[in-house]
Amino acid sequence: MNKNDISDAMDFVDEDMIRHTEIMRKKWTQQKKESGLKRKWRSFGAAAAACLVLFFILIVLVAVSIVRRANDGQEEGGTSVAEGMTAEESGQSEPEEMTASHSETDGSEPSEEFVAIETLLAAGDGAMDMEMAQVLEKVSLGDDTGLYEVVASAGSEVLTESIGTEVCRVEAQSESTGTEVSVVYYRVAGHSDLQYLIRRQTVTEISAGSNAAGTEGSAEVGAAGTEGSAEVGAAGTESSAESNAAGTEGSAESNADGIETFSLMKFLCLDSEEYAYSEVLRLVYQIQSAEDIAEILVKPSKADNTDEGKRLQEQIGERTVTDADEIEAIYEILCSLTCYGSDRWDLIELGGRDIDADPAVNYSSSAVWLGRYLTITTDYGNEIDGLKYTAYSDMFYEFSGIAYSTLTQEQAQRVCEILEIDADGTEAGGD
Amino acid sequence: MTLRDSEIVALYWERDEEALTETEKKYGRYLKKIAFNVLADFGDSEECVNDTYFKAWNSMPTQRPEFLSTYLGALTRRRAIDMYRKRNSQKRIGSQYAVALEELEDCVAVGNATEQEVDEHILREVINAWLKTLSQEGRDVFIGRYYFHDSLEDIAGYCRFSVPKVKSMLYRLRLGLKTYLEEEGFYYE
Repeated sequence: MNKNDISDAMDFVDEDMIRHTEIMRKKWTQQKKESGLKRKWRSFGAAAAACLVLFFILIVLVAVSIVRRANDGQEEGGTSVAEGMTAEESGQSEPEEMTASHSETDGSEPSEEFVAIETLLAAGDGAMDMEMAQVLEKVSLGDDTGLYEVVASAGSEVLTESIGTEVCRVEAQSESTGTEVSVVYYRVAGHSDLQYLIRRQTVTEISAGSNAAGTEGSAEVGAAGTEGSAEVGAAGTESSAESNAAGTEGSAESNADGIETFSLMKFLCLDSEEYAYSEVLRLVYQIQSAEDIAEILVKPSKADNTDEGKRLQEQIGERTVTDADEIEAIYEILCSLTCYGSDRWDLIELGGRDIDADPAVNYSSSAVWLGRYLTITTDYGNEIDGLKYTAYSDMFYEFSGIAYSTLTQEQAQRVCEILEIDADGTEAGGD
Repeated sequence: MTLRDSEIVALYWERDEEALTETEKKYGRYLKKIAFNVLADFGDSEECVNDTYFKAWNSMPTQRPEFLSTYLGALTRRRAIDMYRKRNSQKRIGSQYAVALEELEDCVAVGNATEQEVDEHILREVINAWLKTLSQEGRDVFIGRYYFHDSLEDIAGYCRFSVPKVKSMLYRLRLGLKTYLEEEGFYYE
């Protein structure tokens, strides 16, 4: 055997493993390209800002000389220098660096009192009322863009008091409505993760006589040469300064500077066609290793809520995984996954929806039998409750159709062992 | 707008030449990078990638790959290495592949100069099994170097490590592979 044999054998490495590395490479290439573009825009922005400053200095000098001439014995009542000068800036702060050093900011962050997420959620479990339209926003997380959804919260007063460090901000003006909109996203106080963000929107009038602020703030967000843009929009609705759905946004508050609204946002997925889930674990949930996971609560799937389905759920029961080896195994498997983004129901097979089903067979029950809902608790107390697993197609998935790559046979077997899924259906799992 | 892989594969199956245009648009640069890592020549890389498109056209149908990038990447890698072997005999090619290949000497037992006949199928299975024993980071580094033949700097970039760390990881991985191959009986006294 020689080195060429080994090199040739690499042609036949499992596709899943090649794919994972491929995605890492692709993401890095994209990031390099974007930072190159960002550098260009920064230079352009800096040059434009310098020209603007010079221009205003010139205006000031000309105006001062006019005033002096007027004061030197000519007619009184020169024009006010400040009149008509509206040094508007639609600037944008750069978002904070969101790299692997994100976790390093823990030590250097100004000390904030840690706010438990459950105190921010509305009464109940904070889940969105399923009849409400899902409100999604894109938020810049440095090199990535996250898709966040609005969740029912405990009210703007609670949110105001729970604001932590700023993640990114967007400011824009809307000439059609005569308003200036500022949207700032904050971490929750005491948190360095990005699972939940507090969104503060401020709408102010930019000129007298325009429509009152606080009506539909359909601001177009994002300006050329800026960074950290967030797209504000909801499925079929427009975001408005005043709360338009009970429990989804804190009530709007008026102050001298405009109308402020607060809302609580929860991370859904990255805004990308495909990406490594390890990126999400690291960037959003601050999970760098299996040791950052305290426990994993495993519940049966709720695919069937008939009496029989509930009986089956009770039979399966719940289980809490605390064994370090098992947590490590789950963590390693999660790190190997590729995520294909949301609304990818075409890739997810749950086993309860066969259209050519044999009426004698209860397929929904098999979806319960083979499915599990996971809640991962981190060592800092946050809960990641979106992940679900189905042994029907050996894959993880989430509501909103977030699909992940299929597990290998070995991985699937290990997951079934840990989650106590009897794929043969002969025994019930559970504690 | 870039088409999804399934849509491009469908074009191949329909024998629509738009498939090649779309492939070039979506994966042209990616494939050229793979080829260049082996051949270190833009002209040769271009030729290699064109051969890949030709192979892809002839193979679909009947193939219906789920991930076109991986499928085409493998075709390109294979073609590039074949071209390398033909041309390297005439003119030394100093590419990343050449350097990576020299590194793989560490995985071959000393004194094993004799061309022990290797059962390729078993070797592939063993290497796959060994890769599965690694951490995800180790796998990415090894595959990045010995499948994609990326430079140490590139690997350090996308794995978010320093270059010295990648270097030492690769060294340990090569020794680890060598030990594993010995345990699986690939060398004899």
